[in-house]
Amino acid sequence: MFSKDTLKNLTHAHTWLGLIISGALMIIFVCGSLSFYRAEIHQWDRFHNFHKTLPTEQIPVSHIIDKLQGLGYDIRFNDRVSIDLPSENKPFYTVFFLATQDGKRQYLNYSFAADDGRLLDLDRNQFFLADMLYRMHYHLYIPSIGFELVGIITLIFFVVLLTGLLIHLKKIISHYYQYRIHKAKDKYLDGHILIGVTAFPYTFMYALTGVYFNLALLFQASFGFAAFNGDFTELDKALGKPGAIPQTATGLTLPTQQYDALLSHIKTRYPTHQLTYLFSYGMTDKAAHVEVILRQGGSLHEYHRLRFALDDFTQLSGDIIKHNPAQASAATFEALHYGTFGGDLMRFLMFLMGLACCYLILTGNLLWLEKRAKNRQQSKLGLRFVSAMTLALSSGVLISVAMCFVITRFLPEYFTMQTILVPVFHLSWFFAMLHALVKNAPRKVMVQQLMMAALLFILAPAYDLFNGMLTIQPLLLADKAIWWVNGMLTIMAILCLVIAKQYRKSTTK
Amino acid sequence: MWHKTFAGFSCGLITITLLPSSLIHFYYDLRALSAALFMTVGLTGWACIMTYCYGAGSPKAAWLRGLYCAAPSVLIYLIAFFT
Repeated sequence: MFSKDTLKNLTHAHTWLGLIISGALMIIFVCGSLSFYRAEIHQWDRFHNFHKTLPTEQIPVSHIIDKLQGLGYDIRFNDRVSIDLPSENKPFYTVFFLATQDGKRQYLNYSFAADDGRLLDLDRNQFFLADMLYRMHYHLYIPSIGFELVGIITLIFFVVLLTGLLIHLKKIISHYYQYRIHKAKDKYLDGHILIGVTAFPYTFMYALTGVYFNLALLFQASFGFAAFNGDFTELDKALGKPGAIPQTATGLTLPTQQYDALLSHIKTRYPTHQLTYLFSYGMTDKAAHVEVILRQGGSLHEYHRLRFALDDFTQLSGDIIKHNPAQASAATFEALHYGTFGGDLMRFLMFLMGLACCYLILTGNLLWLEKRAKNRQQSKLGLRFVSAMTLALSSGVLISVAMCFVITRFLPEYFTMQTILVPVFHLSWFFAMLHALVKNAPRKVMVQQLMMAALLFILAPAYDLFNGMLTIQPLLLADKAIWWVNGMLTIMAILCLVIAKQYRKSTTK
Repeated sequence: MWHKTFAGFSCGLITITLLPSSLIHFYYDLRALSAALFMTVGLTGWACIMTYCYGAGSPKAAWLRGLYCAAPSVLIYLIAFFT
């Protein structure tokens, strides 16, 4: 099908690109897989804090607008005020807005209790673990360029997938069931291929949607210049983006109860949808507009965005997703990437497929390291460093993630999580690198680090189970979200142990 | 390898940007559909062009492969832009 030279070039590219991006990709995939349970991790994290359950009697949104106005900020007429409405996973109101503080225009956020509207002494960043994992997954906490960098890494990952597919294309069916267990190298290669082929549809989807999310700005800019001669308003129209409707304040004020009436009007019109977000442009002015995001569970197009006039509830913009091909494609990408349309089973499958990618990275790196070690011309010091770095950014990342869960579960009262979790994450893989440098035996190091990760992953579920069984905190056993997260951590621990056991066997041999 | 990377990246981006843009210049009514195609097929095409360049045996061959894809799309775009 392909000449020997082409296959050789593709194999070289597959290895070279795979090795370069493997560290960042491992972080992206571990954190991304865990982010399928982002809402549950929030819940799990919040357990040590108050405001755990959604109150049966909730105050209407007008109270929150009153409270916000009472705070006395200078919010400009056309600036957006976002209100995150209470839900099972986040049972309080959170308000975000742009205002002047300390002489600077900046985004501020306040949270209000859903039962009596009191100002809660919590920053949205207080329950930081879920957000940290999610953000780490798409910008690696690298300032300014992290987002685009992840996009380029994902594009390279896409190329790695395609090169892998082409290398193996001729034998894709005949060698699918091949799993040689006698030679360690063959076993890893077969495992790499088996998982790679099986997970290909999912990895392909992650790569395509990931490139779209992170490089959208870059290619939309080039498209704007080439297709619309730099007219970005036209581009936005073609992409179906809802344009900001220019308004001017009338100076006449509506009662805040108008918001309650509008929400009840929307609930009547869309009884099967759940109201999740509300955006206000103009607060209580007669000319104010309100945008809402409605969620329809179990649908491929889960979220719908509608805009209304606050004064007479006229609908100003319809459901763009249904009418614009670009928005429909974007919504489909989003649904596929998050996997929320298929319920819990689908989400679990997506989580496992994310972990399958981590297995591909681990085996790929180990194959490369062992092949490299046989090369006599290779500088020993250089190899030792590259080997330590590679190990730290593969098995070390698992330790980093596990450490963050342990710190969040055991030390929430002593530290502000936002300041401590990111340094803990990076320090953990840095120590894993030092460990690999000192030991200088790749396979042994990987076994030890995987066992360490397994131990750390199992600590929090064991603690919760112990506490729950002793009825110290019986809710730990009653909450579905806590079960999901602890189950997921246990699966991670088991997988680490199984892989470590396999590697140890071949090391002993 | 770096040559192959830059050849694939830049020629891929040029190709996937200019082809749907040409479609818009020819048929303006298809702009929304063209934007959607750009996002779905175009991104996959970008990765395919990069893979095609990595299959080349030398840096020069990689740039040539990149140009095989980019040059026709530039030509089509110029025709679409000036007609």
